[in-house]
Amino acid sequence: MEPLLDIRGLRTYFFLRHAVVKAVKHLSVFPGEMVGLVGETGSGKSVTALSVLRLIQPPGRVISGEIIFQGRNLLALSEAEMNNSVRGRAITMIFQNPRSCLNPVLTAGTQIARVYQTHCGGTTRQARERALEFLRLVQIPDPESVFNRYPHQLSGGMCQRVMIAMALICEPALVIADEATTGLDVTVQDQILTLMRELRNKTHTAQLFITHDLGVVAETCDRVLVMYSGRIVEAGAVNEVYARPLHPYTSALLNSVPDLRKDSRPRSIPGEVPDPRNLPPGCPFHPRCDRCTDMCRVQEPILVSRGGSRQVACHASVQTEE
Amino acid sequence: MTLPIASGPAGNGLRWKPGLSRQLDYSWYVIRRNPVTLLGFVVVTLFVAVGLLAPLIARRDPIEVAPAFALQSPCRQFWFGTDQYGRDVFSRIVHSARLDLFIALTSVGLAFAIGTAIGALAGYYGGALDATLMRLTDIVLAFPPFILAMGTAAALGAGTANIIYVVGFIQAPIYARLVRGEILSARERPYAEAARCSGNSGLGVVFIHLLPNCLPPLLVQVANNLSWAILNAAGLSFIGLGVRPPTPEWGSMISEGVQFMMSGRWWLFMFPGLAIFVTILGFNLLADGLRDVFDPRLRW
Repeated sequence: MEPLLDIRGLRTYFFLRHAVVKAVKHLSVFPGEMVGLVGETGSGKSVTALSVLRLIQPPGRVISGEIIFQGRNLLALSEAEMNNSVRGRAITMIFQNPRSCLNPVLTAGTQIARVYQTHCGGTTRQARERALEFLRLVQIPDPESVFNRYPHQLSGGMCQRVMIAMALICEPALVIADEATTGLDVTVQDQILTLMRELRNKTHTAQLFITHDLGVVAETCDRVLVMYSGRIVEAGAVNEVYARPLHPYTSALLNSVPDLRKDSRPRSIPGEVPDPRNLPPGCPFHPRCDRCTDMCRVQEPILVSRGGSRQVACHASVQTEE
Repeated sequence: MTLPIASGPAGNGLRWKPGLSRQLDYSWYVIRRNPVTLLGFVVVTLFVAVGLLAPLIARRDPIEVAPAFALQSPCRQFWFGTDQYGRDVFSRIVHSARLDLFIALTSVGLAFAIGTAIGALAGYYGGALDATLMRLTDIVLAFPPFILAMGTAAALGAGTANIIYVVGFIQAPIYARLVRGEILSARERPYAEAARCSGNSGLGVVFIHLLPNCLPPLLVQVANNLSWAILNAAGLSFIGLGVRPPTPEWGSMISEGVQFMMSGRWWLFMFPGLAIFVTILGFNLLADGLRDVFDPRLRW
């Protein structure tokens, strides 16, 4: 199957005063798929999302690579084409802190309707009808009342539903959810995740879930990509990766999640996330890795296929296989 | 502090009113709560009413010369007396209110439009555009405002239209500064990024999403500037650079009346002076009150 979104060798660099911070990645998302992108804070998850929408702010810049989306290279499009046919239309985003992501001076309904009118045209009345329809779709009780309310009059979970309605109203091919459930409490989080899964089944919209919560990925996604220091270190189907992680970072991450069934305490990963301005040579994970070899200290591993959808970027893992 | 409306921030879901009417309720509540603001509100309302209804309030023609009635002191027929040409001072003051209201609104509107556009673009796009626009506004701000107004008015020539341009021109940089600062903080907010992500162009983000969020401090500034505009218009007219003589204007009335100060014709300059004083005081008191209305800490 042809991937919906195919990022090839994307390099987003941040030119800071004393250093250049580099983020490199290859990833693909297939139509109708739910993909989880996990990693620690600062591992480059959000940068990936913003690179796709070409909204990296200076001093950041996309240096090279290709972002093929529905057969077009997004990096070659003009700003106007991005605004008219991609941002908010074919690729939409859902953010963390839904309340602060809604414009405080416009009512929830106006904002949803505006997205629809901007991208799909139609009269104000049609946009209103459509917005109400989508408010119902995201299971908001009493959509007429919510339509006329301002974000500060809605709860966090309601705001997130409004954001989701806004993200879906133009029937995009891909929704990027950047820490979409992080600010919400667990019960609301569960409702939102269930809703997102149901919506995927209804609309067949591909979703890229950016999160640091392995539980969210396990519950919602078909496939998971693990990022470390701006690189994808492991990719594969969720159940395979969780059952048999190939990259030492992935297994360390999984070990650091508390398990209620076992009596053992979660194990933290020794050391710290490397400073992105000053990455260690070779594999960026090697100083914290218990399977580190000589090769890891000098040569950066590349992402290699390990059968099926599984990919891993680790020398040690490849050697054990051989 | 009890609020006039039963529901809190999210509302209790029982009594929910549309945004505008709720905002008006709240504004009215703040105005009522503080007697000083109420006073300002009353004065400004009165001024606007007098300005709008001028021909109905003062039926006498403000520029009709009647030598027979020259220099009458205030009496039942001429409440505020008459000037050296026998023109009714009351009628002139009332009609002048209409002119001043017009000058204040248009010049502040002009300043607001120009200043906001400059400030918003400079704040959002930054870089060379920001530097250029802000240095230009710095040049204007470097002069004492009234000196600059005098110079510009002298260059353009006297006349009502020119007063409007001049007062608008010297006030625009204040808005540019204010808006730039507000936009600088607003453009980093998550909703600005969300707006970019949903396909708004740069101008769309600035003028549809960011600017409305920057309005509250601007509105306080508008209330203040309306009084400055009246003061400036009166000042320019006083020194002969503003409204041309037959047309009544508070500043020019004072300057004409001053010649009769020594002969004890106090009504000629006292009433227009009081009119300026009361109007400007009213606007300033109201502006202070508006600050409370828009103070985010008092908002719910």
